[in-house]
Amino acid sequence: MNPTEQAMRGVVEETFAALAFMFPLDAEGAAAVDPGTMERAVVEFSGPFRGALLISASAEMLEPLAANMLGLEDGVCPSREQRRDAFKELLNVICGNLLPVIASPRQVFDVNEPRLLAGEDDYRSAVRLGELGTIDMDLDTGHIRLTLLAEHQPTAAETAPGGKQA
Amino acid sequence: MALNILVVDDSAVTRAMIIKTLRVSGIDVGEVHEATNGRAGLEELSRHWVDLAFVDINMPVMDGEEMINQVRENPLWANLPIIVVSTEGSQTRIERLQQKGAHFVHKPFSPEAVREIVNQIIGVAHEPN
Repeated sequence: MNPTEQAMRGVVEETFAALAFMFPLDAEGAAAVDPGTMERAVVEFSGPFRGALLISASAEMLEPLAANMLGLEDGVCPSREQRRDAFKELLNVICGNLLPVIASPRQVFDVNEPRLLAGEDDYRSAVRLGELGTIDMDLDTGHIRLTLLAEHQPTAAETAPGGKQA
Repeated sequence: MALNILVVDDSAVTRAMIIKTLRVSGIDVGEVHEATNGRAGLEELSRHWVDLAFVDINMPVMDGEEMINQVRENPLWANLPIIVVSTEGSQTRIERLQQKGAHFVHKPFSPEAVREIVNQIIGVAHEPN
């Protein structure tokens, strides 16, 4: 696991715990997952460097994710729209918290609206961004994969002297 | 006195989370108005009396920073208390927003963080019983 992936893992764990009370089952979760059962979303950002954060998650995870984020009572099911909105907001929060960790906290990034993706391969070939890191994680509600793409590795000028460089 | 609230965020789930957090925090909430972007937020302000606004930064159509700029330029709303609820991690941008009189709550947020900042702005009258 490279330093960027370590940073990604830390931000993901904190975000899932704080936003949805979900926790990883182990430190190196990499279970075999059927790609056909995954939901995908992407959020793109620009600033000192341009990039995108991709997430795929077990489809069955989206219902408890939305229910926990909304604080729904047991037996109340979130709507399909709420499930998708919660999934996108989760990605938005992960991205917003990750960028100041991998770059300088003084740098300003503009983060676009997250959107659902039909297929990851088509997206990756279209944007032509390099992969900085990928993590897999098993949570108590399902599996996620997070991939950070960027036009280049953050340079020394883009990282803060006192910042939390990954 | 119940607070009339405006919540501006393009995520319906986040708007719901903020509203629910306010209610469980013991804050006396009156009317709640919602908008999905800054421009819609300004329209809500022109239609309703609002005591406190929660505003996201990254939104389509008009972002939160532009909305705050326009609020501060309008004599009717210039002193409206605004809490930015955002994932924003740039200290540069956070300081810029604070210079415009906005307070800041970082996502993901806890009910305690929201209650504390509302009490700072409005006063201890809204402490939960």
